[in-house]
Amino acid sequence: MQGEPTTVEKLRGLPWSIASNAANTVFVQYTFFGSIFVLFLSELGLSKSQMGLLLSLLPFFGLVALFVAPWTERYGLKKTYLAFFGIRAVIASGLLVTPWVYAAYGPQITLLFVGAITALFSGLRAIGVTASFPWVQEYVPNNMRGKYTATNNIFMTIAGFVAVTAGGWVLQHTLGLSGFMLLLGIGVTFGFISVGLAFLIPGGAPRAPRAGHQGRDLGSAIRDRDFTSYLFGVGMITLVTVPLGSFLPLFMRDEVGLSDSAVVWLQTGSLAGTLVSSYLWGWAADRYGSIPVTLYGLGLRALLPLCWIFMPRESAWSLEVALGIAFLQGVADMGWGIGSGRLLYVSIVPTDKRSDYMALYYAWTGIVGGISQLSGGRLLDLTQNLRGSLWGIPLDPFVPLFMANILVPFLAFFLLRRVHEERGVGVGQFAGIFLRGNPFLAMSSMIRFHLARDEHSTVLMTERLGQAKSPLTVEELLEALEDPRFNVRFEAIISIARMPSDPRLIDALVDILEGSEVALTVVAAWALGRLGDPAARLPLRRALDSSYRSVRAHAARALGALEDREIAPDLLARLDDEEDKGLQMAYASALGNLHAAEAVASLLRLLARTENPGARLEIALSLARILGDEHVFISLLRQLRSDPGTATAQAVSAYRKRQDKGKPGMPAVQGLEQCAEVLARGDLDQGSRLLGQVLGSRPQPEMSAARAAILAECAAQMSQTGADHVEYLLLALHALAPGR
Amino acid sequence: MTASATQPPDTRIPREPTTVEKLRGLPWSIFSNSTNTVFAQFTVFGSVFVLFLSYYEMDKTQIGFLLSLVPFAGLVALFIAPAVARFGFKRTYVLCWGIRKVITAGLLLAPWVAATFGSQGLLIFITLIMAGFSLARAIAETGFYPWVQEYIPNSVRGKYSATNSIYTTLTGLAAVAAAGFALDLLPAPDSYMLLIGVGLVFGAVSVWAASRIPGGAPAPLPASQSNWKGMALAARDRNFVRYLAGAALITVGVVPMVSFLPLYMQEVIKLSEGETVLLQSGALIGNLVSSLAWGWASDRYGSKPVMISGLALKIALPVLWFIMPRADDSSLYVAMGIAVLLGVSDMAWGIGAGRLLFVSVVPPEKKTEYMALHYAWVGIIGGLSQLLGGYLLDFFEGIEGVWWGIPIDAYSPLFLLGLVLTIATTLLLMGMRADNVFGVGQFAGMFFRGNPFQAVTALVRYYAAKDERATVSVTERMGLAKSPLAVDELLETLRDPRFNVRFEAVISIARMPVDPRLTAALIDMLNGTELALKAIAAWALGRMGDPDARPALRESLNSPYLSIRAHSARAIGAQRDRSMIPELRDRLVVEQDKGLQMAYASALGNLRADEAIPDILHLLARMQNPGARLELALSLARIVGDEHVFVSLLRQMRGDQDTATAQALGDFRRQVERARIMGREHIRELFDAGDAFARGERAEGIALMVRGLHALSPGALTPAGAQVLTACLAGLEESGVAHMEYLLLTLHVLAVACRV
Repeated sequence: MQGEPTTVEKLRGLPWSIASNAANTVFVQYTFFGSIFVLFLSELGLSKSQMGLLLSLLPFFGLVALFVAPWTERYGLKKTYLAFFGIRAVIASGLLVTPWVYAAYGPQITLLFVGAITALFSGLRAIGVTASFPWVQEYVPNNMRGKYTATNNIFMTIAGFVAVTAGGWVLQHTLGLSGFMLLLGIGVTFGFISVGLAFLIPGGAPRAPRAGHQGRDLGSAIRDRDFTSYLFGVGMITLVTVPLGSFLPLFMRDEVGLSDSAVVWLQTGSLAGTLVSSYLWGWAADRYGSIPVTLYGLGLRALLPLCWIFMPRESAWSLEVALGIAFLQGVADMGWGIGSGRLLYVSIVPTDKRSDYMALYYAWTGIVGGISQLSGGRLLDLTQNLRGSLWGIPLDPFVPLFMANILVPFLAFFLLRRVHEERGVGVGQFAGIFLRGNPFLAMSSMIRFHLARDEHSTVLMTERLGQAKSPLTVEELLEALEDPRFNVRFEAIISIARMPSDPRLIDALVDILEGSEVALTVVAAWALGRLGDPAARLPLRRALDSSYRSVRAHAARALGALEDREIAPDLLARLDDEEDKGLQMAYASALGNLHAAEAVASLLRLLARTENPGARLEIALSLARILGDEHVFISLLRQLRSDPGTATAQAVSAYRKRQDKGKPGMPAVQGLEQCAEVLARGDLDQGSRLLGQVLGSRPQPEMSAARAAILAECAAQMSQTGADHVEYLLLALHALAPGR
Repeated sequence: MTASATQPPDTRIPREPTTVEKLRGLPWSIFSNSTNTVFAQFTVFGSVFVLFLSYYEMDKTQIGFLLSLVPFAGLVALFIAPAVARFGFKRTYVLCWGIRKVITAGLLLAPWVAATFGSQGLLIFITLIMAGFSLARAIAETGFYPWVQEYIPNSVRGKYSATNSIYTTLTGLAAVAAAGFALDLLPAPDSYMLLIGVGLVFGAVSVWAASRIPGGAPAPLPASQSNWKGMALAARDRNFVRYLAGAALITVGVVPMVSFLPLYMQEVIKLSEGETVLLQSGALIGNLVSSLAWGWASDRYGSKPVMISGLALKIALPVLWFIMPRADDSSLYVAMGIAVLLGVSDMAWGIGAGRLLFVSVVPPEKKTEYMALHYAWVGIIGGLSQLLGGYLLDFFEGIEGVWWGIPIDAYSPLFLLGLVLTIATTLLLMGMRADNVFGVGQFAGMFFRGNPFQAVTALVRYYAAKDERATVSVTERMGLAKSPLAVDELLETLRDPRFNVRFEAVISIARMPVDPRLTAALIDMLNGTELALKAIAAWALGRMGDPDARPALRESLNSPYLSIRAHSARAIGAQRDRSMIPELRDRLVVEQDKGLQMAYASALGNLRADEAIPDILHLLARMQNPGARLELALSLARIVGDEHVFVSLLRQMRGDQDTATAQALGDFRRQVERARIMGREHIRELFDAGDAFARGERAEGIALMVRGLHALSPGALTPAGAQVLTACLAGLEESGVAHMEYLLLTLHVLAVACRV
């Protein structure tokens, strides 16, 4: 017994599968599916009920799947498919004699003749398709099913596009049945080509029943809630969309007033929509799951009938509007098709029970499809006299069908939403992915990321992935984190740090933080602080005990950035015990960020014994942060750097004015005035001493303990050291600024 | 308290105000200038006065003569400058500025004089008023310029000019709109009288406001002889002379053109009187929208680039006026557009040239002599230019026709003169010595690199950021703009006391285009004391790719900190500093620390160091960590070539290792099959190996593949490829499926190093 083909063989077979499907598209467009067949039946003078009956044969025959499925598996899925699709093409060629039958025996016999051919065709097709479903599940690898479907659709669409355009042109330039016959002839030829190409696809070998599984097991499929929900959802959609699809050409011709050729060309709009959207849907389904894609396709589908109801009729714009709606229809159908198909193959049908599940699925869709055709035709016959207007809505025989196509998809929406799918995202989440950040930049960066040929361009693209700030790029950023190139990984961490928070990104950074690559661990700690997600607090707390000081320092700073107040006592204890200067700075900075007033004394002690000017400034900032309004400190610092005398004099003057309002003429106020004057003359040293003396000599009532402590220390230090340590002057001015 | 601290300043010695006092005075200065704008627009400057004179049927030569009195009077500056300095700049200004208002009030008698003494009598009367006004103004301004140099701190001179311009422009706009409205509403001469009356009230307010500005105290000056000597010295200052020559050329070129523009608009373009006056609004709008930008740019990048940019814009003006549609529905709109451009160019020229004069041309200690000379010179040239303009217009009055399809009229020579002299000024002033950090071309280039709009908004938000998070975010945005405009702020963020801001700044700088100042700042950081930032600075220098950073990176290979050595080595690799290959190899051989070994190996891979292959292979054989092994394999792959093939293979293998391996091996097999460089049995082995991999039988696949590949002639591969392949095959034989890096590397070599 032959085994399942290897993935390599499967991948080799996919182009043949696509080519076969493309050829089959031409076949079906020119024979039993699409507008041409409906127009052909109309040309023969069939009523809509009769058309509905004929069209219903195609799906009704799906019922045979229940009976032939085990046999197809034993005989070989591929062999069955090839044999029955080959024979159906032969049968389809029988339609070529229809003009002769019509001329010789009249319309009734012609109806019977066409009906017989359609029935035979449908039966053969049903057996072929029964085999094809499990065969497709076998030969398309799951990890690229969405992409395969999309690529397949692109080629099928192009083939359909060309076929429909050519079909419209032929019908426009021919009279009576001759055009239809020409197209049928071409279609049958392509049908044979399609079967030939399918021969090159691997898999589908005959399979003997497994030991212990001799009989059918349809019961377990029927009891599978996901499967039944799916079947009901698909059934409801089929019930309303199939007749709409079948009779829409008639609506366009009879109600909107388009010509036969224009009606055929409308399909190009739909095919264009398919073409444009298929790859995106396929990619989205592979990446984000089938359900959101299914449901968005469905939602869009439900809006289409409204467009048809309100579109301009007998107008110069009718064709353009109809083409636009057809385009949307193509987009919606593609979303629905790719999503629901992938959902079936990947999440719903267990591989080991595919024959039973697929048979049930095919039979069910056949029954529902057939009923839908019959009911659609019947409904249109019943409503053929419907005319007028209701609440501004134009009424015609098609309106009830349209209304059903609005309501039923919404019901199906809620039913399919219940289906369980692993690794999928929610519907709301899916929409959010495309609405957050810059999706266009994200898309282009993702494509360019995968095309990047060297480290430099990969690094640049990684940067752009982060710039997009879109959830779309999360996968690529995670991939960049696993890149073998250090610089790409490093860049990825930085890009992630600048992204909106995402649990997967946080997890990945935590993995790096707790990993063995020290050069990245440090930057990962920083990135976790930069992202600002509280979920990172616990791993960062753990990292405080890392054996690497740089990791401890970054973790402490990150906890400060995350405003993890609970860690303040721990950090304070570490600060008091720590000997390493870098770690002292990190703890001090974090305590400042946490506005830990209890750390003021420790920070002042640290400031007093630190010599490095940059470090002193950072400690002063930490103290300023504890007092609040760090921007005042920064603003003062910037002014101080450009013109220290003027900046400090202005700050002292402002303070003096406020004091003067309260107690004019006080000695302290005069001292401040003198201090401002000295500072304004650029004598920073003398000014600092003066300010220190003024602050030291006056009581500081109604003041927080932190502020009082800081001012007292600043006063003492300034009196002693003048402008040697300008941070004290800066800190004092910050403490004296308005609002404290 | 020390003695010096308590000692009060000596008030007997006139002293320059402190910066704090100066800053306090600036709002008064701006208010004074704004109210003076209304005075000027409604009296002797602007279109209203020209139309007023035209109303009394004075010809263009007479108008030119009257207008020339204002600048000609500037000549007195040469003689009165010492006296002004002794009397006090401020006192002189306030006094004479007040007197000129009183004299101007005489214009209110013009209708009576015209009715009583006729047009000749009126001409004499207005001439006397203008002479008195001009003289008072000249004396006032002789005091004003040194005073301005004193009371505006240089550090905010550009911003002051811009802010001042915004306020004067806004009041000017309102004044012009009101003037246009009054002229359309009231009949002449009532409309002119009303405007002059209102102007005088504003003039008085302006004088009062000026009295609140500090500085300009009387100063004991050298004797008048030394004053002349000082002026002679100034006249020998080549930079100053060049500046004066440029100012003269642009004055002669532009002043006549702009002075008679209202008449051109009325006579040739056929705009109404009200529309002509409204055109001034266009110029004022141009001033308004551009002033802050020009002021900011001159403070930051220097005066000269701004000044030259203004001149470059001015070159376009005469051409545009000349070719604009005449007597057409669109004429007003086109004229308004050109007026906006005029305003923009005026502002650039005004701010740039003014700042250049005060900051770079005039030494503060010689301001009296230099400024007097400047004022007198500008006055003479200004007066001559007015006369010349009127004379030229009268001389060419009869010209009319079309030359090569170009309409020619009496104003055409003025435009031609304007064009030629503006070009000449630009060329002359390009060679000036100034304070600019950037060249003119560099300055212009700043606005065309990166995203200047994003840069400017980021800069505005940077100064408005209130906390660390906002500052970090805006620092990111400055980097994203990739514009040289953001360089100064990025440098400032590197000095921010907040660690996270500095860290973010390093990252943003790393992503910027190469800039020498940024590179230098990062090198400083690399050589600094802040360990937590040194390593990231090393990375950033590698990321930027500026070869100037190479010496610093080489030096930091000797840092006592392992992390800095590692980042520096990687950065050297990213910089493609091939001269470091021997050094890195030596270090790799003796290094014991794994992180450093990885960094050296990675750098050698980046440097495509063929000679390092044995060392890296040796390291790969010893290394156990899978991530490190992968990076070493990548280094080898880089040396062999086409790293993207390796990365692509890796991605595929991570998705489905067996399939990816089978496909890659299949590709190679087909290649050698076509080239017929292997025996059939070995090709069969490769085929079977591929099949085994496809079935997930890795061990079997590896065994078959190794057997097949041993038959491959070494000549079929590049030397580096052959060396790596030999080691990989040995590694695979020894470790089987345990070390998949060998398999990956083997497939990479087969894909890129095969010579067939």
